[in-house]
Amino acid sequence: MNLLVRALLDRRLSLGIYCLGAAAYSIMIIAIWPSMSDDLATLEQLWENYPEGLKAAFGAGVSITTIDGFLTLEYFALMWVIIVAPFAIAVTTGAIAGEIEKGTMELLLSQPLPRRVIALTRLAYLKIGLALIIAATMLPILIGVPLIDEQASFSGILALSLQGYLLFLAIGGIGFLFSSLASDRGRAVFLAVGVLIFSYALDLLSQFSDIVENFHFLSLFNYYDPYRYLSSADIAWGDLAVLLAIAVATDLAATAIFQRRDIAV
Amino acid sequence: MTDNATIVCEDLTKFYGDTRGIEGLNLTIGRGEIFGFLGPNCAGKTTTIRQLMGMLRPTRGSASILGLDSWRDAVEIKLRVGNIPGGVRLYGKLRVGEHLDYIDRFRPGAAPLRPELIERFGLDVHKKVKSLSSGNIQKVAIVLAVMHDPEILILDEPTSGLDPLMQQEFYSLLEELRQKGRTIFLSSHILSEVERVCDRVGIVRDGALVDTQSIEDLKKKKLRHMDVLFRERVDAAEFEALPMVTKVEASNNRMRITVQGDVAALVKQLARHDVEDLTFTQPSLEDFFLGFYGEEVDLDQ
Repeated sequence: MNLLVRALLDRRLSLGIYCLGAAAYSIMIIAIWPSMSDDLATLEQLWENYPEGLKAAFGAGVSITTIDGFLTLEYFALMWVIIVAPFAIAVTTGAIAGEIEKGTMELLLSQPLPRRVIALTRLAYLKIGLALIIAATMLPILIGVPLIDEQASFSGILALSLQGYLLFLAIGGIGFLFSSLASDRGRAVFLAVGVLIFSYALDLLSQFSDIVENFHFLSLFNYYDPYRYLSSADIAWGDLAVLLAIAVATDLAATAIFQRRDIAV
Repeated sequence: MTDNATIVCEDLTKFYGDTRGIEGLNLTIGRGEIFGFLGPNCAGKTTTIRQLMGMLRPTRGSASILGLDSWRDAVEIKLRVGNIPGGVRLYGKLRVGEHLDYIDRFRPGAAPLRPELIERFGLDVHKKVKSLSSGNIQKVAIVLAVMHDPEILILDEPTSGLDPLMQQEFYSLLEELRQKGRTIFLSSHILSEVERVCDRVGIVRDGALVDTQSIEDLKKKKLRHMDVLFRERVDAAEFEALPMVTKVEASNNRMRITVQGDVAALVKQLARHDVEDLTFTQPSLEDFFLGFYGEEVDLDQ
């Protein structure tokens, strides 16, 4: 508990900035919508004129002329991931590799603390932090959308929140796994970001190539479909199960590795 | 193993890949003993301490404290052991007081020695840790390790960075802890420090324990130089005849006498002459290793 409170206190500023950033972006997107939707025809034309590649990058089959589509394309398909994933990676890579690199892990392990508890506390902080950032993202949308005379599906936003939460837990889990293996944070960050870029590239290329499409299941973003959730609240339980499984498996593996490894810079 | 064995290493061995950290270490430290682990840098001192503290898993053999295995029972051990890691690093964002609070909460009950130690080492609890000098960081590390009054202290180069005044304060703290029956294992590369505070010393070099000696024996074996200036010319032979004298170099009225062991007979012999000046120097660790191993040791490796 002491560890968790300390983590929350130490990082209250950076966590606050992430929450503010996510909320500010939500507010901005909602504020832009009324001026965009005034001229739907032009917007649609503009969208149709985008190169196929660009459209695919933001999500195939999404209509920009609805608020759900607009939110998806302008925020949840990419920007949201770019804002929140660094938090998950920063927290988890700092948790083990970062503390070993700084040398503070030795002080921490001089205390009567099981390594398992240290690992679980770091993960607990990740879970709390992500929940707060997602709440900060979604609350302005829930409140803001009715204010601009649009309709937001409460269940859709809830479903997307759940899916996003699991996606970021999986990303955090991957960061944590590399953190448990490395003795310097840079290497763990490099590998975790590498997995994200690989996932994104696979997601993008599989729109164009049937051969790549066969390997789409290897991409994290294969299991993330914000438009579907926002527009219909139709939950793909299989996708959620995969993300949850990745998060749990990486967390367990990282904890087991951390319990067995040598702590030496 | 003796009944009061507190720290026991049996064939303790750690390799980092092909690099030897420490090999085949056998060591038993009794309750209430202050044991010095003396050796140059890279000799294996920190590797040994990290294994005792459960940070490294032995490649072979085992380390145990109070009958508990250092790796398996690490948590239970740490409830009873205070540790200063080598080249300790603290959480820079915290203030000194917050840092003490943070570490304090990992153990049940308040730390009984905390106020006294803060006072003794003159710590400013309001300062940010990252603004502290290395000496002050070391003082915080001492307080962190000792404030719970643990049964055992494991200290890796504990006086590193401390100014001489604070070193003396630390030595008297160790003396008080000894009188309370605490067991202390400390590593050092400073011979005078080990001589001053320890009961027994293990000499380690190149990843192996070379010898274990009581401080008394160490002092007896240690070569020291006595430089004497006489008012008249004195025959070197009368000093060479003394059993504790290993070598005499004389020029004019000056004499350098190399001594090993008890000097009582030598002092009596000197008193027969008119001595103008006399200096008796402590050997450096380099001299000591030279005497011990008969070869140069690069201590700055």
